This record gives sequence, C-alpha cells and structure tokens, in this order.
Amino acid sequence: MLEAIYTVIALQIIILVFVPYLILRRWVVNLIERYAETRKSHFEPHVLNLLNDPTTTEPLESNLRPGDRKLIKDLLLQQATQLKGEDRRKMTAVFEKMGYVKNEMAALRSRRWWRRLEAAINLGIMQSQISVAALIHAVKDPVEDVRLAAVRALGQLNEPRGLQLLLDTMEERNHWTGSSIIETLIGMGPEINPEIVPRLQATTNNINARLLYVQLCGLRKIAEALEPLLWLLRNPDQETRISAARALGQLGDISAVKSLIDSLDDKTWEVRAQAAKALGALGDKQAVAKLKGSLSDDNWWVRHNAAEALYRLGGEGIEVLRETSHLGEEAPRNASAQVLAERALGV
Amino acid sequence: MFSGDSVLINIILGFNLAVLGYFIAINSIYFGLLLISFFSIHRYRRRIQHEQWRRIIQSPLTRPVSVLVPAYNEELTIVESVKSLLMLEYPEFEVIVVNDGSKDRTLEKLKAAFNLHTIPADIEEKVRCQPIVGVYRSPDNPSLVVVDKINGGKADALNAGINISRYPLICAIDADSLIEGGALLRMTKPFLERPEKTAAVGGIVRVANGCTIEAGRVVRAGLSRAWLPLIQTVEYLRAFLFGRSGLSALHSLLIISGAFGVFRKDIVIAASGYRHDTVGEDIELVVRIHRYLREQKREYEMHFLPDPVCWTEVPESPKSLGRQRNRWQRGLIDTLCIHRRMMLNPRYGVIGMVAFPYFALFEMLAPIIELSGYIIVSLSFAFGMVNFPFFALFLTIAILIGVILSTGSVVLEELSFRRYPKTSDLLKLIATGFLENFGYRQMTVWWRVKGFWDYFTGKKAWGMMERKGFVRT
Amino acid sequence: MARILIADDDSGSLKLLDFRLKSVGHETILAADGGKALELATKEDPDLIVLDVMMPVMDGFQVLRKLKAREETKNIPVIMLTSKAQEKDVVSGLEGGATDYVTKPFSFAELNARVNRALASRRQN
Repeated sequence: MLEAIYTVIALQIIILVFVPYLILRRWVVNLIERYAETRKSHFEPHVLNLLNDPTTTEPLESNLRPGDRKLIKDLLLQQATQLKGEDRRKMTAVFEKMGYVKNEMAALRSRRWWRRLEAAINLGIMQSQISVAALIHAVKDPVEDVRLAAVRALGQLNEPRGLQLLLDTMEERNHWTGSSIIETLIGMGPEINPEIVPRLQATTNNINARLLYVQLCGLRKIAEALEPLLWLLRNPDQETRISAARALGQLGDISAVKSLIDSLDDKTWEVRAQAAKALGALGDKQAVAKLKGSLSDDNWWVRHNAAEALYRLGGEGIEVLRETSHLGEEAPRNASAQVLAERALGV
Repeated sequence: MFSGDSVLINIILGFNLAVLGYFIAINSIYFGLLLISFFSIHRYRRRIQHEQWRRIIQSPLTRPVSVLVPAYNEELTIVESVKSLLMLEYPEFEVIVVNDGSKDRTLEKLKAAFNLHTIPADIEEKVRCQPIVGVYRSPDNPSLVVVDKINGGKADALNAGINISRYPLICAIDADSLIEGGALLRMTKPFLERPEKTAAVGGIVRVANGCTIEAGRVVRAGLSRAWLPLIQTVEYLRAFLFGRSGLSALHSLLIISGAFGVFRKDIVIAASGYRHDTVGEDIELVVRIHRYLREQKREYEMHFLPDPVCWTEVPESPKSLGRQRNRWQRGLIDTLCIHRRMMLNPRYGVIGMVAFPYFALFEMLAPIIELSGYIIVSLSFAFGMVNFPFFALFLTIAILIGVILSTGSVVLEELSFRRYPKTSDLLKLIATGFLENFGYRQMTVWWRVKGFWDYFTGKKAWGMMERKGFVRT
Repeated sequence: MARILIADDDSGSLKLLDFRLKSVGHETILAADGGKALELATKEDPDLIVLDVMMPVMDGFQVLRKLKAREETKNIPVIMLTSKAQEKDVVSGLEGGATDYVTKPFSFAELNARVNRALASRRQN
C-alpha cells in the first residue's frame, strides 16, 4: 500500500520538475520568435520588391542563416495569399525559381501527416503547374485532411487534369464531404462547364451526386444546365426538386419562370419556398399574381420568401404587399407588413 | 489490519474498500481523459495550424448563423456585449437579443444605443415560447434583431430567438459571454466540412476574471487577485478544457455549455426546442438531441473544439458560487432522470452505454459518495477500524491524485495553448492546482450534495422566484 | 501624386498596400484600426481612403458612415476592401457612400485603376 503512495508522490514530483522546463521553454520560444521577427523584417522589403521585379530573388537567396529559408517561405506565402491575377503569377514564378515548389512536392511524401497537410496547402497557394502530378497523387492520401487539402489545391491551380479526378471523387461520397470539393470547383474557370452538365445528366441512380451537381450548376451559373434543371424540377425526389428550384434562381435565366410559377404549388414546402425566392431573383413580373397567393401559404418560409420576392419585383409587387398588409388574414398581413417595414428601414 | 468479526464491522470495512475503489476509478478515468484530450487537442491544433480562414469567410457554402442572446436585467452590460457581438468576424450572421421581460432598463438602453425601430412581424411558433410583445430592427445595424417578450425564463427566451431566427445555424450564448472575434468562424468549420452529420459544436469557456477587457473583448488573459476565481480558473482548465475534450474524443459528449454552443436549428426544432421546466436547459437539450437523432437512426456528430473561446465572469463569492454549483447539480440530475430510459440502453449506442453511466456514477453520484467517503473513512480511522497505511492511501488517492490532475491540466494548457503570457501567472496556476484539492474541491462536493438534497426534496420544478430570473450557465 | 489613407488591421495587407501605392508615386498614411482611421482622416485630409471592412474597434462600414456624416471628410472618395464577397455587402457599401469596392485577394492592376478613377472624379468635382 505504501508503494502506491510513493508512486503518487513521485508522479507529483515529476510534474513539479516539469515546471522549470516549461518556464525555460517559454523563454526560449520567446527568444526564437523575436529572432524570427527581426530576420523577417530584414527580408520584408525584398519580398515586397519582387512584385516590381520577380527576378530580384538574389537578396533572398544569398547569405542565408539556418532557418531563413523557412521564414522567407512564410513571408512569400503570406504575400501570395493577398494577391491575384498578374501579381499572383509573379509569385508563382518566384516560388518555382527559388525551389520552394520542389521542396513542398517532396514534403508531400513526408511520413508525418501534418507536414503533408502543410505541403498540400502551400502548393495550393503557390499555384505552380509543376506540382499537379504530385497533388493528384496526394488525393489518395490515407489522412482525410491531406486529401481535402490536395483537392483544394488542385482547384486553386485550375488544372483540367485534376478536374476528372475531382468530379469522380465528389461522386464517390463514401468518405468525402462533397461540399469541400464543390467549393474548389466553384473557384475554377469557365472551361470546366462543358464537363459538368453531361455528368449531371448521368446521375440517374446516384441522388447524392445529382444534388451536388445541381448545387454546382447553380453556384457556377452554368447556362447550359437550364434544360436539365427544368426537368429535375418535376423529379419525384423532393431534395432534387428543392435544389433544382434554388439553382434555377441562381442561374438567372428568365425562361425558367413559368416552371417555377408551377412549383409554387409543389406539395413540399421547401420547394415552394425556393421557387418563390428564385422568382424574386429572376425579376419577371408575371410571377406577381401567383406569389400573391403564396402569401397565404401555411408555411412561414413560403410566405416570407414570397413577400421578399414581391418586393424585389418592384412596381405591382410592392403594390400587392401594401394591399395585403392592410387587410385579410393575419399571416399574409404580417408577412407583407414585415417585409415592407424592414425594407423601409433599410435592413 | 482488521480487528473483530462482527457483521457491522465487516460492512464498514467493505464500505471503506469500496470508497477507495471508487476514488481510484474516478481519478483513473480523469487521468485517462486528460491524456486522451492532450493528444486530441494536439492533433486538432496541427489540423488548423495552416488553415486559411479567409477561404471560409468567402465560401458561399459557409452557413449563416443566428446568435441568440437571452437577456434578463442586463442593463449594465447589454449594450457593450451586443456591440462586441456585432463585430464578430463572420460573413453572414444576425444577433438576436431576446429581452425576457426585464424589470430594468435593458430594452430602453438597447433602443437608445442602436436606434431601434419597431416592426410588425409574422411570427410562427416553431417551438413553444411565451408571447412576443415586439420586434425591433436597427437601420444602422442590419444584423441586429431585438425581441421583447413576456418573461418566461432563459430556455423560453432561447426558444423565442429560435422562432424569430432566419438562419440554419443557431449559436446560443449567455448575455455576458465574451466571445472572441474569430471564435464563431472556428465553431462553424465542422458544419462546413461535414454538413450532413454535424449536429452541434461546443466551444471552450474560460474564466474572464482578472483578464484585461476592452470594448467587450478580452485583450490580455490574466488571473484574478481573489482566490476563489483563481481556483476556478484551474478548475475550468481541468474539468472543461481537458475533461470535455477527452469525452468528445470518445464521442461521449453530453454537455455543451449554454454559454457557447452552435446547433443546427432544424434539429433543435425537430427535438422541440429548449425545455422550460428544467433547471439545466442546456444539458437537457443536448441529451434530447442525442436521443432524438439516435431514435431516428440518423448518423450524426457532436464536437467540442478547444480553440474557439468564450470568456465568462465566474462568481467571486462562495455564496453565489455555491448557488451555481447547486443549480448545475440539479440540472444534471434532472436531465439524467428525464432521460433515464437511455441509461445502459444499447439503442442509444455509446451515449447510453458509456456516457450516461459515466455521468450518473462519476458526476451525479460523485458528491454523495465522496462526502460519505470522507466521513466514514475518517471515522473508521479514528475508531481504529482501519490502520494508518490504509488511511494514508485513502488520502493520497482522494486528494493527492487530484493535485496531479490539476497541476497536470495547467501543464497541458501551457504545452498547448499558452494563453497566459505572464510567467508569474503560470506559477500561480500551478500553485493553485494544489489549493484546488485541499479545501475547494471538498467545498464543491458539499454544495453539490446540497443540490442533490434540494432536488429530491422538491426544488425540482422552477420555483416562482427562480423562474423570473436566469443566471449564468 | 496623391495622399492616400490606408486602413487595414492585417499588417501584411497594410504593408503590401503601402508598398504598392508608394511604388506608383502616392504618399501614404497608415491606420491599423477603425478608430485610428477616422482620426487620421479628419486630421490629415487625404485625397483618398482605402478602407478594409473587417477591423476591430470599429468596422469599415461604421467608419464609412461616420466619414460621410462629418463635414471635413464626407467628400473624400472611399474604396472599400474586404474578404467578404457577399453581394449585399457590396450593395450596402456602395449605398453607404463608398466610391468603389474591391475584394481580397486583389489584383493591384485592378486596385490601381480604381484608385485612379476615384482620384480623377474627385479632381473633377
């Protein structure tokens, strides 16, 4: 029994001995941080200068002390994230020239997952075409965070080779959160659109994939998706109809108005609500009459979206709101009054 | 070692052993949780180290949040709190302040500070709440919504907020919570990465007493000069930071603090919102959500993130601290009783089979067992029924290990977050780790036992007095 | 060429803007939070203000509102700068009196063009 007591006391002593170590550690960490700050401010002007002339990397490559390369890399990365367009391409050239891209590509094979994660994220910032193959390989990494980061990086590179892989992975859905891939796909250039619509049409059996593609078409405003979306608006699956209605509003194509007006009678309230919202976005006044009816819907969201849509449509839409806000039953009256009051205040 | 052979003596000796066993068990579990949480936090920090937060701010997939602020008699601090909330770094959110029929000038102060105008509102009761008297908007602050309603208690106010809110995520906080600027963004990351599965996320609550606060923000973490809040600082590190991280890693998170939690609104509404006849409305909701989702056989996740911080003032006087702990205990008991069918029920998976028994045995019954343990073992020793080595062992296990846990928590905090810049503060915290177990812990045991007593002798339901006001979670 | 006040809480961004605007010949005044921005705007009377939206103490929209409310500063053109790309923020910025709106990450060529346009229209008035 006494042994147990001694063990406990010993443990406590160990912890207390740890304390001076912690204090020492703090002191050392502070020193290192201050040193890093000094070195960074030494390199900062040269890093900024690269924007004027990307070939002036010499001051960042000569007379380096140990640890400098990493500090410079951090400075460069931080600067790159602030930029886009021509300036960003300049930074990419610098990363390539100074060998940082190669470094990160090698790090993608590190045994430590957090280093691989960092590498994938950094390559996404560096946006060098050289790293594409390595990133594609990293999409199969055992650690999910690394896979996600590799996917995002491929998206930031705007690389068509990566596209097929991204779309295939998005459809898989077993281990992935399709939304992260969607985010990446949203940021890519218009050349990927022709790939997406046929895939949307091919998703007859894979509802989850279909929902992701519909969402993608809406967020990217892919005009060619109009017909398939109109067709999906009548699909037996309610989630599909909901997404299709939302996407049609984002697409902005007025030819969808008639179908959306019909959707205001859909048996699922989310569809009616999304259709109302979409009609407000599309701006066609022929929707006013039916939207007026939706003000009396049983569901709060439908009423609310209809009121907001009427306001957005302006003219007769606002007239309808004014009328409804004075007479009739409580729900449509309150819905209209609320939207009118909020707009008047500017909120 | 044992003398005599009467049945009574054997029972008492048996009890002594049982109590010793209990203390060994509870402290081992805490120790395990501490270790687990350390690795879990380490991993989490690695994951977010290079996170590009701007990407999340700009993403069209980031879901907007309704921040619900229930307020009762908060005239002194409400304007400051709301101003700081409006400055949260998040792309789209609304701050809904629910004035729960305050008797003071809470509403007037809000009206003046934010130029509030009343608007007619179409209100649908998605969850039950007392009648809403008025809804206000501010032209200068489009994200602010102020709701005035008839008094109904904190849960009721939260429900009103839910009814008014128009965003898919709700963030329930206390009116005096000081939320860090980037905290909301961090809390919603799991919802962004795993939108179908994530049901709720809890953040860490840290002690604000002694910190430098400017304009509703904690500018510099510090320690209180008073000993009671100081001890609570260590306690919060041990129990909330490391305790909860550990439980979360084991998927056994039953408690998300009412001071800071983000939930999916549709799930909360489907589970019928907050319950107003319970004193632990925050715990009860989380347990009910577990129950609802499991009964629906839906796959879901709840996370506790150690990173997003909510600072809160803790009671400085033993009296108010005692009341708070009494209330927490009653809330826990109430919740476990209301949902007792989940106990050891395989239908409720790890929550029913692991979390419930853990909370029942090591959180709910703990104070009773501990108190009786202290009394009986001491008496047994005094009457010579157990010898000194046993008594010494008991004291070691009961108290000394606690010291290891407390000081260990401070060490882990230093290794992971290092929020207290002054080295003297670190030393103070270590020293407090000792203090926490020599007197403070025993005090909390006493208060919790009282809570137990109060619960079973009828302070179960909200008394008229308590219903009117609500206090910090 | 012109005196430009830059307000941004992100020091990396601030230094970058400072460098870039200086490199095309402007004189710069720097502020790291909303309160300072307002103070310097009133004191120094710059020709243009580049204002980040998400700042501590006072965010960009509040600073904008205050600038437009004061006699000395209401005619200074303001370009808002932000990570948030939501349509309604752009609208409320422009409605609040901002001359233009640029999202981060930005392309300096674009920012420069907008700066020049804003300065030109001010000179005309």
